[in-house]
Formats: sequence, structure tokens, C-alpha cells
Amino acid sequence: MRFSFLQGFNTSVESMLKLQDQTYKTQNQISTGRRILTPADDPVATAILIQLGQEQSLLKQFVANSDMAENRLRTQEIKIEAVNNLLVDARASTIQAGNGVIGFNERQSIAANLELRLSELVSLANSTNANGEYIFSGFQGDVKPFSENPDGTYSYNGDSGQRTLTIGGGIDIPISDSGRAIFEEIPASEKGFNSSVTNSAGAVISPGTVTNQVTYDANYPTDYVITFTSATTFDVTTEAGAALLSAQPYTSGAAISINGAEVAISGVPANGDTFKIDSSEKQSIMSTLGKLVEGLKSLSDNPADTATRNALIDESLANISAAQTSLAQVWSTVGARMNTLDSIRDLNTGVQIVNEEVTSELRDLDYAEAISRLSIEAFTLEAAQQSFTRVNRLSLFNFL
Amino acid sequence: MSLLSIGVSGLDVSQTLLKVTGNNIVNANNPAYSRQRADLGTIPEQFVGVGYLGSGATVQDIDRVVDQFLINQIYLDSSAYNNLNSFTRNIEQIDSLLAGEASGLGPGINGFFSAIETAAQDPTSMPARQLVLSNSEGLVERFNTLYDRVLQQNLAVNDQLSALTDQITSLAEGIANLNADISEQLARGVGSQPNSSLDDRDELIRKLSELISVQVTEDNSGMANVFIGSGQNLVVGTRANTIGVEASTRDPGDVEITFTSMGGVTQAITDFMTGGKVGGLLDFRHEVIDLGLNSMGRIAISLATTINEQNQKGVDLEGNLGGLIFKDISSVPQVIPNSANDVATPTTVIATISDISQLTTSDYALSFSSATDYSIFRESDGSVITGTLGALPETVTIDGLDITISGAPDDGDRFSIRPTRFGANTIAVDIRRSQELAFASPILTNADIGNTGTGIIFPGEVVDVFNGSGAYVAEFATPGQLSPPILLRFSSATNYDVINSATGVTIAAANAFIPGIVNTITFGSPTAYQIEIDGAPDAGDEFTIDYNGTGISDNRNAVALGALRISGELEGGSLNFEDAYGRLLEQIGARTAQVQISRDAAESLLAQTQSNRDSVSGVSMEEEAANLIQFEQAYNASAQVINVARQIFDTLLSVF
Repeated sequence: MRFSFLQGFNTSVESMLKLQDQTYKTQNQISTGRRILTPADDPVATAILIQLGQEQSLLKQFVANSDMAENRLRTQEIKIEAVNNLLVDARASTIQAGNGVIGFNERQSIAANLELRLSELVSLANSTNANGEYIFSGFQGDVKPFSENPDGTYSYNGDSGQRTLTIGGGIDIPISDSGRAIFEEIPASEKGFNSSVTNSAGAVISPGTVTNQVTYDANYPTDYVITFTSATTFDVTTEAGAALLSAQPYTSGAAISINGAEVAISGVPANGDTFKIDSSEKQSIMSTLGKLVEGLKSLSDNPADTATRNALIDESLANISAAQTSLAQVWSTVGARMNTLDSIRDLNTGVQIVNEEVTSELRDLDYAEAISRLSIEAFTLEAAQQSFTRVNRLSLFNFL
Repeated sequence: MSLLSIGVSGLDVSQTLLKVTGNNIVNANNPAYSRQRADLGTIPEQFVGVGYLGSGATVQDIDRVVDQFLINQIYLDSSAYNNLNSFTRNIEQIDSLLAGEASGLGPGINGFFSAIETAAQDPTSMPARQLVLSNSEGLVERFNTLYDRVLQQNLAVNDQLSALTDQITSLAEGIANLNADISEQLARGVGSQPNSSLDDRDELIRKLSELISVQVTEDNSGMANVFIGSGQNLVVGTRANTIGVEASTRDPGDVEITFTSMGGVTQAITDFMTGGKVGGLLDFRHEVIDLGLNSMGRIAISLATTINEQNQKGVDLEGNLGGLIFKDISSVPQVIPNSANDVATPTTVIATISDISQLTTSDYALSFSSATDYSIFRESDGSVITGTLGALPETVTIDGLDITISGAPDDGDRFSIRPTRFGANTIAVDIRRSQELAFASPILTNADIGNTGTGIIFPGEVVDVFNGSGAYVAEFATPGQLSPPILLRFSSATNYDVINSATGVTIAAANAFIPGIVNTITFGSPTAYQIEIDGAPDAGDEFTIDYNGTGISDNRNAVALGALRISGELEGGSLNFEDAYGRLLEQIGARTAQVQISRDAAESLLAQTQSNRDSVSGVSMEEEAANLIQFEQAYNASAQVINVARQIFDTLLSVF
């Protein structure tokens, strides 16, 4: 083939430029440590890398959520443990109070001890976390879950909401239990009720007691509604609407007796005000301790009171046991959650490490390969440059 | 004929040969120069009685050594290479832009959702809420910046197209002028080729082929006619036509290539332009800019819409139903009436996005073939949907897009519909206060403490807070409460009553319940929310559903917001936001890799053809050096012939 003057230069320069481009790219790969500099270098790997990145960020979040959940659960566990210790102590005191040898005065000091325990229990139930949120109030983080009523009983002001965190793909773990579940929903040894105001601006209803268990049990689980027909008279019906008492005269603070249950309404009710007596076989720990303290304080040593007191102590012991059982259940649930959490977190951390390896394999440079490639390219470029200058020195004109 | 004149003819010939050689040597560096060769001949012999005697040598013509096939091949290869090269240079910029850690969308989407997930850990934390807000701003900024950068490149493409068409026109004029020169020189030279003018014209056409594909034919008078596109005659003989740009009738932001004929008639020929830099830019504009902007727009629209919908299903820190986090951009689709539409009887076309999961990244063209017959062309795959309109206004739904047509369509009316193009530009943050992030769920379920059965109630789920006309459903119409609050009372193990717990009025009595399985109970029409009850409640058991106005520690809706990241809202629910962006990167990356390979191949092809042309037409210094020696020797020999002729003459004179 005929080889023209320009051709010689063009071909050599072009191939040198190409070599230079290659060398530059390899050098760039080495200096960044990346095999893929733009998506065009490996579009498929780029798409996989994006997915891996997304997964990594999710896993990181899951692990962070797991840490947070563990924190919350551990805080809750500590509180539950404290409540349990308190119940053990209260139980011992209760047994002590049932000892026939001790008299009224000793019982007063036991009652005082139990009263302290009760306030300690309430303060545990009203615990807050580091952010000042109440732990046991369900979703109502800024509402104090347990507050004392004028009559010395305690009401739960939270809700039964359970806070959750996502710790894995589709795995939400509860990080709280409501005060209701822990302190209130405890099976009672005897059936009872909760009284509440449905709508009234001027009157309140007392928690009340069951005065005749046999009659009350016979009608259980009927709920009752007290409806004022004027400021001074009221009707009592079952919730289903059957009339029990009608046009009863109202006296503030006087006991109202309904099928073995006794409540008192006080204040200024208006026509149309309604109150509800909601049958229940559950009793809160606060009520159990409150009733016990009240009984120990008021019941004297006469035979009738002694019988009532013994019955009260038996009932209280049964209720404290029930509370302990119920607490143990919550406790074991919390433990089980922490176990789940640990295994999920281990799994997520493991997947994270695998993903990192895959990411590195896809994205990062094989230095040994790149450096040997660079030396080959540099060598070739150098050879091209040397041969170019040598070949172009050859010319017939040199000999003219 | 004397020996002397024969010798003189040899001197003349050798001198011409040396001049041609000299000319070759000095032009060796001009890539457009074709080496020239003197065509030698003999002076006609004369009959001298005993036979025909030669009369000397002469130069018949000076030709350039060219191979027309190779020249045409260079035009083709140069067009192909420049087409791919300008495409590659442009797409490489987009490729790096989208994938960049600092500029790409990936880190923005990731940051936004991570902030939500972190805030879900602790829904009352103001710093965590604030972080969600600042990350929303960051995400929006990335969308806007990316849109601007891609748009800037589109503007640059339009500017380049304008400059390139000017170049085409001036090259065409140059070719037409050279045609005139060449035809005149041919006439004057009695058939001799005007070599350097031909070289010049070849070079101009080659330069033209860098800009656009050309077809060249030569007519009898030696003039080259140049055609572009689908046969537009750019140069005819000595006349050149004008190529220019004008604002597009289809998209006011873009320019169209126009062809103005000698008669002054201007027509748009954009769709026929192929090859060269112009073709590459047009391909890039059509393929990559549209894909990039539409894909990002679709992500922006779907993200804003789904996040807003979820936030509206929640309750904020102040107990109100959630509002918009991003500005509502579901009505962003742009409909551009063609400027040639009949304006006497105007047709109005409005498009809104009705279903995110069906939305594509394509643009659409709506055209009417009569007052009632329309066709919708989907540009991504070229499919056409035709239909007949009933009473106007009528809404046609295609790919999650509601297209409402009103007015009076005419035969030939056309509309460009771009559902997603501007999404990445119009996305904006609406929320101002972090308290307005609705992390809680508005409904709160509760089992009565007096329940004796084993029934449990689950937290429930908000289905929709809006009715079809965009107003709150009755259940959530009154701020701060559930209307009505619900009490479910079981009248038996298999029946329950739905009661308004505020008034005690029974709403629906004796609904059937199946104990032991999850019973889903829905409320409202259309369904506002639903709850689930499992287990076996006893007669008299009660469950309540209330408004969750104070549940500040409730993170149910925050978790639901975070879950939108992986749930997949696009393409019928198969593609999430980050995957959609990954797909865009993959598409652009794969296309870049492919054109880079094609460009490299076209480049070596062009180099090969150029090398072939240089091999034939280029000047070889060795050859010319040898020629110098050869022709110098021939000159010397011819001079010796004259010397001998003189000696013969001297010898003859000395006889006398």
C-alpha cells in the first residue's frame, strides 16, 4: 500500500491519543479506587448499586430503630421489675397484716407502709422517658397516665395505644405497653364495676363498691345507666334499656344501691346528665392496694370487722397474685420482643456486611489488575512515542 | 522536426514535472490537497519517408489523483461519526450529572425518607421533625437543580442548532460559488480539471457532512448538487438555499430546523434531519432530554402526591388532620395547542393526573380528524388510541391521565400533552411548621375494660379522608373529632350494634360477627376508615372508636409515610421512587455506553476511510524525493540532447 506523508502522522498521532485516553482513565480509576466512574461504565452494575444503596440505608435505619426499641424496652423492663419487687413487698405486708396476733396499731403501721408503696407504684406508673414522655400512657405521651381522684382512687387517663417501630422489612415491634394493660387489666378475684360520668358538667360519681356480691354476681355482667330526669330525680336502667328504678330522689353524696352495687353521686346534676356503671371482672393494682389500705385503717378488732378484714386480706392476696401473674406476662412479652429484636438486628447487620461486600465487588477497583494494566498502557504509549520519532526521522530527503 | 526541438520539448516536460513535484511537496501538509500528476504524451510523429519519426514529449494535462468512491465514503463516515460524537458528548454530561453524589436525586430521596424514619422513632421530637422539613427542602432543591441543569443543556442544544444551521447555509453558499468557478474554469480550460477548486469544493462538502447527512450528485457541467434530509436541495448548481431555525409550533421552548427554498417558501424539516452534528443534537434532544425530564418529573409528581395523601390521613402534633407537605402538583400536565390550530372555534384540552400508578414517562399527541374523531399517540412506543367523542366536555382517560376536551374540535387540531415534563420543576415544599407533620393516626380504638370475652380490637386504618369532590368525608368533616364517635356493643357472640357513643343513638343494629376470625368493619361511604376485631367477644362487650387528637406519641402515620419508600407506587405498584431513578440511570448509562462504543467504531471507520483516501490522494515525500531525482536526471538528459544537437551542428560547420 502507498503510504502518504499525512497518513503517517495522522495514524500515529491518533493511536497515541487513544493510548493516552486509556491511560488517563486507568489512572483516574486508580486515584478514585472506583471501577465505575460514570453509569455508562457499567449500567447494569449501576442499577444494582442503587438498589444496594437503598437497601443499605434501610438496613441502617432498621438497626438504628432496633437500638432505639431496645432502649425503650429496657427502660420499660426496669420499671416492670421495680413494680414486681414492690408487689412482692406488698404481698409480704399483706400476709403480715393477716396475722391474727397483731393488733390494730401494728396494722396502722402496715397500712402506712402499704400507702407509701401505693404512691411509689403510682410514681412508677407515671414514669417518663428521656424526652419527658410518659411511658405508660399509650399514645398520649404528654398525659400523666394515673391521677388521684378526690376519693383516693386512681383513674387511667391514657389510651390503649401501643407505640411501634419498624425494625425490618414488614416487621413492626411494639415498644410500649399501655398503663391499662399493665396496671388495670388484672383479673379480679371478685366481679366488680367501674363507674364513670357519661355527660355531666356539675356532678361526679364515686368509684363505689360491691356491697352484696351474691346479688351483684347474679346480675353480672349487666351494665347500668343512671339518668337524671330533673335536677333532683333520676332513673336507673340497664344499658340495654330495661328500667330498674325510676324517679328516685337525689341527695348529694347519698349511696345509690343497684343490684348489690353501691355508688354515690355528688355535686349539682342537671336534667339529662347520665352516669354509667360498667361491670368488670378486672381491678387495677391501685384499687387493690387502695382498698386494702382503707380496710386496714378503718376495720377494728371486733368480730364482724375481723371477718370482713380477713375476707379483704384474702381477696387482696389473690388480687396481688393476679397482678404479679399479669405483670409476669407483660414482662415475658417484653423479653420476647427483645429476643426478636436481637435476632432481627443480627440478621440485618449480617445482610449489611454482605451488601457491603457485594457493593465493593461491583464498584471498587481491583488494584492489582488496574496497576498492571496501567504499566502495560504506559509501556505501550512510551513505545508508540519512541517509534514515532524514530520512524519519522527516516526520509529520502536526508540523502539528497 | 529537429533534434534540438525534441530536446527542448524534453526540457519543458521535465521542468513541468519538477514544478508539479514541487507543488506536491509544498502542499503535503494540506489535508484537503490531492496529489497531482502530470499526464505525459508525445508530440505527433511525422512521416519522414522511411517511417514515422517521433517529434518529442509534451504534458497533456495535470490531474489530481482521487478516488470518487472514497470521497463519498468520507462524507458518509464523517456524518455518522459526528452524529454519534455530538450525541455522546451531550449524553455523557447527563450521565455524570444524574449519577453524581452531589447532584443526583438518589441521596435526596434517601435523606428525605431517612429523616421520616428517624422522626418515627420519636414523633414528639421537634429536632427530628425539623430534620424532615429541611430534608424535604433539600430534596425539592435537588429536583429543581437537576431540572434546571438538564434544561440548560436543552437550551444549549437549541443554541448549537441555530449556530450549526448558519454554518450549513454558509457552506452551501461556498459550494454554490465554487460550482460557478469550476464550471467557468472547465469551459476556459478546454476540458482540463481545475484541481484546486475541486479540492476546495470536496473539502466544503466534507465539512458540510460533519454537520448533516448529504447526498451529492455531479451534473454534466461539473457542478455538484447537494441534497439533505428527505431530498431538500441545499445546493443546485450555482444557487444555495437557506437552512435556519424557528420556534417550534409543538413546543415553544424548542427550535425547529427550517428550509427556505429559492421561492422564499419556508418549511419545517426537523423530522427529516439525520446524521452529522445536527442529527446527533436532535436525537439527543428528543431521546435523552425528554426521557430525563419526564422520568424525574414522574418521580417528583408521584412522590409529592403519595406523601401528601399519606400525610392527609394523619393527625399532626396539634391534633388537626394533616395537610400538604409538598405543593399539589397533580395538575401539572402541560397541554400545548399547536399554533396552527383553528382559533376561530377554539378547543380546550385540560389534562390532570388521576392515577399515579398508571403514569408513564411518555409524552402524548392528541389530534382530531373530525369534530368528534380523535386519536392519541403515545410517543414512547408509537401506539395510537382512537375514539369518538360524545357530548362535550368529555374526559378521556389514558395511562392514569384524565384528558378533558371541551369547545369545538376541528379536523386537524393538534395538542401536545406532556404529563410529567415539568414535575421536577414545579415540585415545592408547602409545609412551613414542623408541627404540621401528621405522624399520628386520627382514629383510636379501645376495648372496654369491662369486656369478658376474648375479643381484641386492632388500631384500625384510615382509608380516605376525602370524598370524590375533594372535601373531607363526614367522619372527619368536623375538626378535632370523629363524627360520629363509635361504640360497638355486642348483643350476642355473633351480633353487634353500632352506636353513636356521643348521643347513644344506635346507627346500625344486629350486624353479623364471626367469632374467631378477623372481622373487618368499615365506616363511611366512601369508606373513611376501617377497623378489625378478632377473637370471641361476649354479649355486652364494648369497643370504642374515637378521634386521636392528643396522641402525640403515636407514630403510626409516620411509619406509614416511611413505608412509602419501599412500597412501590409506580407502574402498577411495581416500582418505588428510588428504583424509578435507578432505572433512569440505567437507561441513560446503557445508552451512553452503547453510543460510546458506536462512536468509537464510527471513529475508526472514518479514520480508516481517511487513511484510504490519504493513501490514494495524499502526498508521499519518498515518492516526491525520488521523482525529484528522476525528473532532474531527465532534465539533465534532455539538456544533453540539446548539447549533442549543437555538437552535430558544429561538426557539420567545421566540414566547410
